[in-house]
Amino acid sequence: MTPGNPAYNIPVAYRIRGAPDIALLELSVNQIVQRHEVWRTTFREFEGDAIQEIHPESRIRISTTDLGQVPTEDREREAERLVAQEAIQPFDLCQLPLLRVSLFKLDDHNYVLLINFHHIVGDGVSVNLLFNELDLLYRSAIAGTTPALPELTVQYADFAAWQRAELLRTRYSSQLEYWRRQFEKELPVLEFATGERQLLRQSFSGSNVNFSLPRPLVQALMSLGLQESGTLFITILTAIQVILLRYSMVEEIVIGTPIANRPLPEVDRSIGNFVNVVALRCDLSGNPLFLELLRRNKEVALNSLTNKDIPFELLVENLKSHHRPGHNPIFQILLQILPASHVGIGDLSVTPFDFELKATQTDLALHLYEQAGGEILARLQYCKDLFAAETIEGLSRNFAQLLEEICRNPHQKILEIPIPALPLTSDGRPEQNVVPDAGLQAEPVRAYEPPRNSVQSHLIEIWEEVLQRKPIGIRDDYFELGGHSLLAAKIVSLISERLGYRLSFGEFFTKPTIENHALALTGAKSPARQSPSVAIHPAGTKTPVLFFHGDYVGGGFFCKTLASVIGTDRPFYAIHPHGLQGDYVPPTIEAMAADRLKVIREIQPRGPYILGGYCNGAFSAYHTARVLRAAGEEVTVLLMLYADGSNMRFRWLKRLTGVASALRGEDEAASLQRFLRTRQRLVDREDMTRYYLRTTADLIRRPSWEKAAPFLRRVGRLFGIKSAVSSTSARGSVPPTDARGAPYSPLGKPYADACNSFIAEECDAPVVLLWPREEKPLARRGPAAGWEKICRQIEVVEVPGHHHSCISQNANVVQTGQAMKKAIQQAESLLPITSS
Amino acid sequence: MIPSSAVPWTPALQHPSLRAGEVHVWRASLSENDPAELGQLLSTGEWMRAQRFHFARDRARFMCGRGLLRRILGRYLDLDPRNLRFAEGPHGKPELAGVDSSLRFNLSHSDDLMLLAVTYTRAVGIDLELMRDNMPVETLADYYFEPEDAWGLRLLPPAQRMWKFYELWTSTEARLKADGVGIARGLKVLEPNRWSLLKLTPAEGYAAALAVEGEDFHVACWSWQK
Repeated sequence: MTPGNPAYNIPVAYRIRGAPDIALLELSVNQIVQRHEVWRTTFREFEGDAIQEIHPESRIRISTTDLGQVPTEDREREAERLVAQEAIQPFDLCQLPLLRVSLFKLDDHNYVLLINFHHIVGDGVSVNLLFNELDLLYRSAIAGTTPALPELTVQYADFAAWQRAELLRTRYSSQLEYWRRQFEKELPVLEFATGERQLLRQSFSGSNVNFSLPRPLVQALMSLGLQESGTLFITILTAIQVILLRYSMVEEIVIGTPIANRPLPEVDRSIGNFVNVVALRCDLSGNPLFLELLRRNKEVALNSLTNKDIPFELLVENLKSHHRPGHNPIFQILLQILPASHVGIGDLSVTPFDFELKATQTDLALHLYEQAGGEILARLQYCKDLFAAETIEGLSRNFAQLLEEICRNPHQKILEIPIPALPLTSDGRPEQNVVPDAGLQAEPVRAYEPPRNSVQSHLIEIWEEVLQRKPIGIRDDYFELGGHSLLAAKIVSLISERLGYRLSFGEFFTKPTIENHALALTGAKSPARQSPSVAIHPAGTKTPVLFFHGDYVGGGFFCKTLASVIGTDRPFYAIHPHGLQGDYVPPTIEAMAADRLKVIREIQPRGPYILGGYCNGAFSAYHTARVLRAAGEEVTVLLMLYADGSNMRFRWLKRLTGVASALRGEDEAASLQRFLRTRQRLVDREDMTRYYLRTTADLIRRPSWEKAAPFLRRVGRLFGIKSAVSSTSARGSVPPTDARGAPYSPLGKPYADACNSFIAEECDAPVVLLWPREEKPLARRGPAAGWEKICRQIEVVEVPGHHHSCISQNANVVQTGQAMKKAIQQAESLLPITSS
Repeated sequence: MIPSSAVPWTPALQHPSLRAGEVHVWRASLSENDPAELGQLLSTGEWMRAQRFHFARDRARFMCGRGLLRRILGRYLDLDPRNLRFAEGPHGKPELAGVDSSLRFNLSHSDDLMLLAVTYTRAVGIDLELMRDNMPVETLADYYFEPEDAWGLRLLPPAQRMWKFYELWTSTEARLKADGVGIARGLKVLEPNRWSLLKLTPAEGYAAALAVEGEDFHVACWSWQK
């Protein structure tokens, strides 16, 4: 402690409402000074040692200033100015008094009391003790009774001597060892990325910013700390580190904290400087979770407390090599939390009085004062020669925001906790770690969960439209997004309109997230209780449509629209593909169809049958039609939506690989894989050939070196095994994707394999191929996508969309439904009239 | 026909006392009040819930709404607003807890405005909606209301349908909220004869309805002053 440096003053100011008896107040103060030797002590340096001299008497006079001459509206400001000025008047440690009491009178019932002393004679706890005694003494003086103050057995000087002896005898070396190890590594110096000035000599010129933490926030912070068996202090400590990290990007921060080191109960009531400052050095590397960092701090704090007896000054001496000029030794940041103390003086009303602390020991100091009402008043002190007021004001706002964020979600990584725009560097560029300015409409901060299937996608579209919020994740709570009951009604009606399913309000509000609603809609419970088909208006009188919808990702909701367009007088059965409800997926189309035949027979035991399907479902329907025909049943019409018949060109390959597998003794699964591998190579080569032919023609028309060079390279690899063109699409079965590019379903591969290995045989049922006109022209494969080779009667009808939008866009589904209706009517009109 | 209230909205310069047989309805702006100040009155649970809102504007409105609820009820009960405790009824309706009082209340807010109804002993419900013209009112009416109400709406000239829809909606909601059931069980009011309804106009462009148990009561409307 630099003698006389006002940065080491402890000024405390209170507003008094009432009329204090100044004489009795002065009397009480002097009684306290008489009682506690430390306030009659001066300090001299003699041959390198600090010599304490205890004087038998010290007379304190309360300096009173009457602000009656100051205009009423200016008195507050003037009082504040005078208090701030007096607070930084230095003390001469060689002379008494080292305690000053000032009273400022604003009017007859409005005073400000300032008590100021040098840190060498007292600490934070001493202030509370002082006021307790002052209250007691003042009351007794007013009442004219004898004060009943508890006896002081130990004076500060005695304790200090005892402490020194103890340290020397026992824990000195081991504690020093701990600290030496803690600060072995180069100490990091905190520098704000805002390019604040560097100091050559430590400046004590300071100011402060005040703010408060509301009671609910404080309670939330406390319960957060409790969860981790930590304290409010540790939580705040961690938060300070995070905010400083974001401002300066260092990996280690050292924060000093005063510890009221009163190890003996005898000194509980003693006034004096028992405090020791302990430096907490924490490792912030690795972008840990906030809670993880909290735990690290707990550990550091625990160890530091075990080694708290070494006076800080001693530490500074021993770690002299680490001292950086221009800053407080060892730590630049101070943090302390002071508990609520009820201050009263007799019957006078006493409340804290705010003023500017114009001196500061450290670059930054955060003082938190717990209040009786549960909130916390915070004062962020800073060195004026290092930081601009705006920077610190911003810091305090961001800090408060950070505290709210961590209460909201403590499971965040410290670099990812969102706070509004952080300061720019000195040349105006934003720091790399700046979180974009959130503004008033903050981005949702919890993990955004994208949709995983098309039902969820549909629901998200509806919610975003109705709530006018974006983006919405599948786990976001409806109410937390700002939704209310009328909008819920709108959402439910849109779901009914677009997906054909009615969600009840009960279902809506029980767990109001998209994920849960999608589950309710697709009725995903245990697969065993699921029916493989959905009956849509089963009460109709006409021949039912049995439709293999093939939509193993989305659940086939487009069937509701199809059914509705085809007509409510015709029952429509949507038959689920295997795997949709978590059931086993057979490896071939034939096996899938055979398994579903049971369901078909249950719904409709005898023909004539109207069958249909989409994609893989169309293949299943085709095979089913063949089987039923072979069993002598009538098939009125088979409606195939987006089914590519060109795979039949590999019939020869299937036979060939079948023979090869038989020779090798391979089982069916292995044979299938062999076929698929070879087929893929052929498909790649076909694609390549097409590419070469096209490019050659192109180059002949318009020669260009940019195009020719890579092409010539590829020609060299023409007969190689590796394909230059990647070919992921399996003709005939493209796994459905949704508009957001959500990951393909795990059913994608089994279905692709099943479709690619399906070689259809001849069928004499009337077939209508509904082809999405945006798909690649089927002319490449034949006038009816290859089906014309095996179907006796086939008609091709174009429908809007491409392979997926033909079922995902409602408008397209409506048109497809109309085409189907027409095809059914035509086919039925050709049937011979039978007695049904 | 639901009667419309002709009661004016009086600025409450002093806190009015509530007598038996009276229903007080308070109207307050959620944007002209300070969420930071009102947030101080919230319980930890309410405050944590406020933090879960995705968007700052919703959070601010929630904090103002709950803060004002506490402040106003605190005045009727002569208790510190921070010390009030709330509990949920069997279907989730908020109620006062741990207070020896027969004070009952119901709260509703829409966009920037909030309404709070307070009375002794009787069940009370209130619903407020900002009227938006992009609501598919005919479809919703078909979907949710009794057939004769839905049909009645369609018989009206298009310009009047929005008003009628919101009248039907708020009066239904108010009764369901008074009953403590809310809309989770659907929009059917089980005991229509139990409730008296009153239409309120708290501000231009808003529809509101008050449902009170029984008859013979007197309504006073107050505007919250900071």
